[in-house]
Amino acid sequence: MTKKPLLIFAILLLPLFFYSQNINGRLINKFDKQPVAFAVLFVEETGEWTTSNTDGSFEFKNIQIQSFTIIVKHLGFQDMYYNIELGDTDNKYVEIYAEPNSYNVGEVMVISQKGLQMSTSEVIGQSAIEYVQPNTIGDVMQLLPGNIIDNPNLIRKQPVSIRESGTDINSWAGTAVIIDGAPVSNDANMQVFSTIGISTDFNSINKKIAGTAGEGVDMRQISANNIESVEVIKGIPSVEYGNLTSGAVVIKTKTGYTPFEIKLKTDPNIKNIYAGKGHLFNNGSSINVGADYTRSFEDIRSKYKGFDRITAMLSYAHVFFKNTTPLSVNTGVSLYSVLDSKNTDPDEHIANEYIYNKELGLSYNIQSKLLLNKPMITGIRSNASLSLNKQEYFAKEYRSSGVEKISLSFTEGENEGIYLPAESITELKVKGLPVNVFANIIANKHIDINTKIFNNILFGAEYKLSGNYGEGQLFDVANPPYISLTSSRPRSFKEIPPVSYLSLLFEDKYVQTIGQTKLMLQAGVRFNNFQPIGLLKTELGFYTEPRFNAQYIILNSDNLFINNIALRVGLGLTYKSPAAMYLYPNVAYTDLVSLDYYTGYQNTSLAYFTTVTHETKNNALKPAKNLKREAGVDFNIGSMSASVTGFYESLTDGFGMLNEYRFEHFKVYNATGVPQGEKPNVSNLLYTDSVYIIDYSYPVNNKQTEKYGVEYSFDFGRINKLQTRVIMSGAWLRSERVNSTMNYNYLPVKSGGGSFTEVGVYPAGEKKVEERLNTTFRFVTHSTRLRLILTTTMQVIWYDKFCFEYYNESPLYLYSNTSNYMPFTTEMQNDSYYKDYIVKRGSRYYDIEIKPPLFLFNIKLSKEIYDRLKLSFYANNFINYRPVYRSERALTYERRNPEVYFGAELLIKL
Amino acid sequence: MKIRILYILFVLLVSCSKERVIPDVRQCNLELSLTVPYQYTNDIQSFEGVVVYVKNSRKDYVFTAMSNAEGKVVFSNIEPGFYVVNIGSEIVGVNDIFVLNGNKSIELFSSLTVNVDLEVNVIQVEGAGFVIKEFYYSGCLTPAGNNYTDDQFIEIYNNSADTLYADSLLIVEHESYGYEPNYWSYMASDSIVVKMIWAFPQSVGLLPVAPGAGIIIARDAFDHKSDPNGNPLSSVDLANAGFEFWSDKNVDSDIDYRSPNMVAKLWTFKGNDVSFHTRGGSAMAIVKIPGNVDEFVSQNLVVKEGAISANQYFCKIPNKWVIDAVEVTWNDKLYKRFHNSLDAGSVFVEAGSLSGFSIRRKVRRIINGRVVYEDTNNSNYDFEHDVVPTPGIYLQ
Repeated sequence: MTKKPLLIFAILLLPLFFYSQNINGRLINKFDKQPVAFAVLFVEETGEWTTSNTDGSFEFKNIQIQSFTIIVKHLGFQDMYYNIELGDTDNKYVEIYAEPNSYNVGEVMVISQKGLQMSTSEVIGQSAIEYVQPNTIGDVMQLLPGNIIDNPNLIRKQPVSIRESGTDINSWAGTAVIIDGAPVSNDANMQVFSTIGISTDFNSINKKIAGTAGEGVDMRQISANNIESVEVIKGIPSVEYGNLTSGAVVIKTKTGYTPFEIKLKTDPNIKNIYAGKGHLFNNGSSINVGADYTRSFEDIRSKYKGFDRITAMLSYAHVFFKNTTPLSVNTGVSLYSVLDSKNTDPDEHIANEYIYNKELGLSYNIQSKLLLNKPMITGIRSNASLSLNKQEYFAKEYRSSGVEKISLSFTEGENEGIYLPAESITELKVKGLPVNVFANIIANKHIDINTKIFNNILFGAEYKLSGNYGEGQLFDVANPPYISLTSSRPRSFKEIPPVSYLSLLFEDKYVQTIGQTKLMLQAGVRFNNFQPIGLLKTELGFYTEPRFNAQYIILNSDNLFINNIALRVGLGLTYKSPAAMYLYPNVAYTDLVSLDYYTGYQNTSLAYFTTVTHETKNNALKPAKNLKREAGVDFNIGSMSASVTGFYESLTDGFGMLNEYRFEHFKVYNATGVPQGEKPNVSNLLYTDSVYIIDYSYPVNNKQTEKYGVEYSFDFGRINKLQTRVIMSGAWLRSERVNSTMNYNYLPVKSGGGSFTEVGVYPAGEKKVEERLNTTFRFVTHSTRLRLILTTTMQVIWYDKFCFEYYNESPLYLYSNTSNYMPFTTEMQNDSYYKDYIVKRGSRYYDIEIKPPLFLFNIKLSKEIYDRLKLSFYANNFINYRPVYRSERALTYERRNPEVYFGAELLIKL
Repeated sequence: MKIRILYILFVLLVSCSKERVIPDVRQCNLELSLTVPYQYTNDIQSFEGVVVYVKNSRKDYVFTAMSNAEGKVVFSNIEPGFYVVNIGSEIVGVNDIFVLNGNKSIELFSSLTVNVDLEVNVIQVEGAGFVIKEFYYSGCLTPAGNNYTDDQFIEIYNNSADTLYADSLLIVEHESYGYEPNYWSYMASDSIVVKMIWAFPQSVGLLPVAPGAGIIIARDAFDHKSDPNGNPLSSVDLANAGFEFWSDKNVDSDIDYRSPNMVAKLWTFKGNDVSFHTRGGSAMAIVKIPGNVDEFVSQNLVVKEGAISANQYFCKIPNKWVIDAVEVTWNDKLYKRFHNSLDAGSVFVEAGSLSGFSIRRKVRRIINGRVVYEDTNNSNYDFEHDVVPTPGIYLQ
């Protein structure tokens, strides 16, 4: 009786035992017909992988599905996709020809390509990266459809934004940057002077420090020279990627053989030199090493403000136990050092000032992949990384704000302060030491129901911790660099708890072949524990992210005119945890003046304060949430291939700052009558009880963005007579940003004498709407005989428009010291006293601003000279078309399009 | 024979050459005709001796000429260009001194006859009322080379022979900064629009000012020069200033020195302290508003339509209540804020911002040890500029 279920089970599994194939093959270099050794080949559907031997031969055992794709990725070669349809024969032998990346062979890909993942992504291969002549990985983003081309600039921090028409802080912070499987994190960055007094725009403080605290990863620190490929995931990512909102940039560094290369790159403001080599041992293991140095000036006439960067990397890769259970290990160390400095202009009067921002990062990473092919588990992969960044901001500057009075107290209560002279040299150091620890382990099991249906189940866990162990903000309290109402006190970062999360991942990929069509479904869920306390308790909360992607390939045949149509749909939820700056902001200190008695003599002057402190931590802070929905279609007609994707994303609970107002009671002493030459003694003085309204900023989840868009990319194929490929790509993007989804408090300035005694509460929902349609036409001419590639790009921005939607400028109600809430009536709008509460906008504020069409022409040329030299050149806006645009709304003039810019690069292979 | 004819022909050819006419650039004539308002034509019989200045705005040179009795003055053979005509002269009449003021911008492309309408102010020999004696706005530098503007001040002075009461005087600043056309120029002939109104505090009572005495209103009533906490490069000691401007906007920003604080009746751009524009954007005036000032201000607010920034409210004050005004301008622009009847000229510190220099009225005459300052309502003429500030010092 008990045997029956076993029997049924065995019968169900029968097909598995009957259908099993081995695939043998050889990988050959198309150009010189030599075998290609130690290349990685894997089956897209099942995840099985192997490497080719020294004679180019490879073998996949026990393939149990009928149609699949073998993908070959090897450094120095174009990525190869080889479709295989199996019949009933036992073994199959294939010969795959791999095309090297040199310009005299076939066609080299210098544009971005659609990625293979179920989620919408773009892959930028090595040839395309090199062709852009980038200084940083951020420069490569201009290849993506919808992104606008801009000149390289290393002086400003470089954000990365996916599906954005400008820079949005939450979108930037919500883009995960992953290098060799480990995320680069900016969560523990605390390089700000203070989180207080930032109000709703924390860039005003960050401008002083030039830091990216609370923002995303500054892409300037990642050199593009050691990168093999970049994949930008724009759609709904697999559950492997988390702690993001907009998408992910997945970077893979070079592993494998490369000749010894020296690259020299220059453009008007930036100079760069790189050297690197990948050595392949006889047993297939490889060592890759590379280093580069970049020097850039803001203006070459004034060489005292610049940006220097050094990067270096060393990695080792090997496949162990190749014939039994292959284990691929890839481990490496990388280092970057950045110096943003501003010396005193020797021609200026102000001597002795010196500002620099230094960062030194060191990271160690180990990636491993094990193919077990056991009944319970097909394979396991795991990543672990540790990175340390030493950040130091130093400013030696004069504080020349006139005579000031400050309090030195760190506690609440009345205290005596000091008077500061009109000018004095000050020093500020902000020393941070963010440490990031990351580890994940993912196992997958491949299950085939029959030859037409298979499943790949993925399950795993991930842990990340980001803490800051730096000394923090250091300055002499009696000689501070800046003075503000809510002056901060120095703060050590070591007291700030780390930001961490623990996640569990489950995902299933289901593929079914139905006649000529193929249905692929990928559904997964990611369980997150943000700020875990132990394994089961949490400080910030448990958040679940369901993700779903589906693709239905309706047609896939080489015989018909339309030979490929695929429909895609995706829906997913992602969360991003708040950075340390939002979770653990500074304490707000306010020093109210109880007596200001200045006599000109230190022993008779008295600056007397009542200090109040406020915690600004928001215990209701949540992670930012993004709901992504998208649908798309890919098709091939003749030689044209096209891809169109429409998306709708809603980001809610984005991070921002709001002002909190408090009515503080304190004593104001009266020192009239104190005889000259005597210092006042507060215990003998008369006083009045006063109330003053103070404010400080605290972090909230009040930003919201709704984005709609359509991205399109049409590759019209190669016109052989002209040896040119024509590609048209672009996007229509509309975003509606809400400045604050919460009512906000504001105390306006009274234009007459005195101040208001009631704080206004203003309605939420002030919204900015932006819309843009752009198309980039690329003409890629590749002559194999001349060994050159010439790309002419015409970027058209058809229109660029924005406006503010009408918003009620009156407060909802006012509240006063006695906690009375007074609704703001229509009579008050015209009353001469209350009129100042209305945040009045000019008559043109709500006008829609539409900029007319704009054309930009760029050119890029790259030529191989023999086998050892490659010379490249680019010129942006080479016709110098910079039309002046008159904004009727702001009554200003603006020059559109970037300036003429050009650069050259020389690559020497030894 | 032939050769001789050839020689003669050759000589003739060489000697007859057409004279090339080079057009002379300096060939325009400018004729000015001076007129005064109808009610003064009887009193002013002759314009003889009225000095007329014509300045080329681009090239910065000045022609001077004197008018004839009929009020005609001709400038011959001057080059085409953009000119500014300025007239500031006195004509001694039967009972009064008539001060003639006028200015006009002229675009001269060919010979032109222009009518210049003059304003006439009737003044008495003795000074009358309060005047702005000195205004120090440019600020100075610190030893490290940074800006230092805390030592700005304005000083008013009793120019008459009687004791006057200053308690109802108001110090005001015109709304326009003077680097673009005055938004309020359409009403300038009868009103000014101000963004700041400061009044003396009630606590000082009637505030009598003796003849020959003045009141200093400092931004910070502090010894900027000698106090160790101050700026050694500043030239002023304002520790004994009569009053100071003080802001209560942020509780711990402006130091409240010993001097009594002025009271803000209107302060549209309230900041941590009053700050005058160092390049010459602050045009100042003294006004006297009858009745309740707060009520007047609240009923006379005007709005400037901005493009996108929030609207602000300013106060409109009729010219008839302006006691004295000084048109401080930027050095290379002239977009007048005050009508010619209030101030027909303009003045600025030529050394520029942060130079440490101020503008100060010229001494007209000293009567019995008491200074009477020039007050022809033409600051071109009345004020000295680029002088070291001398607050509280009247007898030079």
